Amino acid sequence: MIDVELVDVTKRFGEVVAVDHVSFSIEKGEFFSLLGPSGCGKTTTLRIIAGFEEPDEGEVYIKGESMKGVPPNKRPTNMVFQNLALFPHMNVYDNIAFGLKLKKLPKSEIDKKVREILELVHLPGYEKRWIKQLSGGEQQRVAIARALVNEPEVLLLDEPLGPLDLKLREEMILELKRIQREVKTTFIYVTHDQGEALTMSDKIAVMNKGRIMQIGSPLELYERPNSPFVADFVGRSNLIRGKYVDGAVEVPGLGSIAVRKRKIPNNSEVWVCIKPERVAIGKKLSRLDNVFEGEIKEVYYQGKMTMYKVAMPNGNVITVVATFKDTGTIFDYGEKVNVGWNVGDTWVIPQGE
Amino acid sequence: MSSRDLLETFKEIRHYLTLVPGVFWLVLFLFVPLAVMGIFSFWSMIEYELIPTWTFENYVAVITSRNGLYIKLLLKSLGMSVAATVVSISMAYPMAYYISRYAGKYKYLWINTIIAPYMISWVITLFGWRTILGYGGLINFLLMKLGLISEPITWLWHNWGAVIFVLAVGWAPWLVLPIFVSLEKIDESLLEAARDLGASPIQTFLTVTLPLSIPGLLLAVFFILIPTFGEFVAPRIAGGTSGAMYGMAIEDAFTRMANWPFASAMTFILLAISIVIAFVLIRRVGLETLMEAL
Repeated sequence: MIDVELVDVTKRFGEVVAVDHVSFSIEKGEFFSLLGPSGCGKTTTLRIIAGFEEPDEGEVYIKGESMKGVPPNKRPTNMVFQNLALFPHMNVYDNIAFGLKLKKLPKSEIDKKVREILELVHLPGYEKRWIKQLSGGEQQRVAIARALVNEPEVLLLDEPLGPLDLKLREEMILELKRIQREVKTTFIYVTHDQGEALTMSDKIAVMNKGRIMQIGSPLELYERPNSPFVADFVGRSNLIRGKYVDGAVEVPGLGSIAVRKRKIPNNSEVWVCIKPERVAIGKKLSRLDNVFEGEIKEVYYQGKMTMYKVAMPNGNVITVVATFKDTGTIFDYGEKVNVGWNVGDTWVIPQGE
Repeated sequence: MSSRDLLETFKEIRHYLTLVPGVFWLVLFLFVPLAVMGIFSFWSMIEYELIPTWTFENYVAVITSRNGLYIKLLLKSLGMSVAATVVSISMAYPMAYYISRYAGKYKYLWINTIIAPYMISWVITLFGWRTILGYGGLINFLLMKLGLISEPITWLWHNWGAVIFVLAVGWAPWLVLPIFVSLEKIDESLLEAARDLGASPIQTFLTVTLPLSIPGLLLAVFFILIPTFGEFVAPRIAGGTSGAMYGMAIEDAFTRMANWPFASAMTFILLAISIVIAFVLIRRVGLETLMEAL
């Protein structure tokens, strides 16, 4: 069942096209992420769904109903704001009860709902606390509770984990996913962090310059990107230019790379995309479909893994991420090494797609 | 004491040293004259000569003389300044709200324009109002020309209503400032959050905007209530008999009666009540919140 649908939505701010003919549909109960660099139009798209911006063209449908001219307070959506926007002059209870009081629910019912939602976000007994007294993570949970307690059809989240430190952020990512599984509400999550998006989402729309570049499951986006932009934005990729000929790509100065077959006309220009962690590195590699020689230009030891930049004879630089278990050693600057990968680790992207 | 301790002590003292210039001016121009007045209030004046007697007579006289007329005048003045406060804030708040929400890039032009009238003396402003509201003023002139009235209406000027009006209008631009600042401090996303949670624009105003602008509002009350309580120029020009205020009586005691001890006692009673009001206001909101609104 389709819950939210955007049809050809465009929004301009003066000369700038913030959202450019965006269309997508979201299934009920899906965790849907809008992923892209800052200024890509993801937040504007979210604000259009919430009703804070009217699109210049196109339509938004929620549960099949057009949202044209419907103000934010009349929409079945609730939002968790980037800066959380908790009311500083109210305590936790009054913040969460804000929407319920406006609906004129009886006091006993409001009390019950507030208690239940605080349990859901693991903050039982926090009713009387003031917002200032809460830690960043606790404020986050209150903001989520304040939105979710209204039982919206769709919960909109605008990069709410931004201000948290890394550890808390990792915790909240898992928390959000758990909460979403429990309440089964449709979540639309805006982020520039591909890690967050990959971990939580059922489906991701990658945006750039106001346009949707690709929509798919995390696996699809990671394994089968349709453009160099998506390949690089979702999990970084080595991209090598060449000509596609019968299941191989001819790269000038390097030779032929055996790749996964795709229905692409011979001799067309393509990108070969290989993820850094799929590239093997060693003194002498064998039993791989593709092996090349190169020289290590940079080494970044990161603890659980080491990142190498390896220069190929044709000038291409291949990024390799390897664990100590993979290599048995840490290679040094200037060492001559082999890099290699199998056909199954490659993905060919036609140019101009 | 080690040299290190000495250095720390010096640093601490140096911290307080920065207060010296400010405190100096305060002492010289506020506390010294006030202290002189305070001492006078316990002296007597016999045949235009100050006699250091140390007596409470002056205070007793202010409270009891002329059947408590001064105390009635004091209470009436408080009532009038409260009324002026209410009227003035109800003019200033919509102005501040409009500028904050809708003036966009012209915000500060608006603010400067609003303060412009203060380049003119308060007395001249008051006479300006007389030429509009007075017996031979603009309004009467127009109404007569239009044939709506046959002789000038007199209730526009020289009464307590006129005093409240000129005080309210005179102070409103000043009050716009603290209210504007507290409105500017409200994060736009809070208003959006309220809307998102189901509040109409009016409900958003009542539940979020208004409560969060209270520090500015109280600062505005501070701005107008205390000075207008002791006002003597506006009632003298616009008040007539019904609009007389306590400040006028103080001026009278100082000048016409030339009874400085009596006038000083009157002043100190006014000052005491003003301090109580200020104290209650500060206690109510907390000094920090009040300063935040600045």
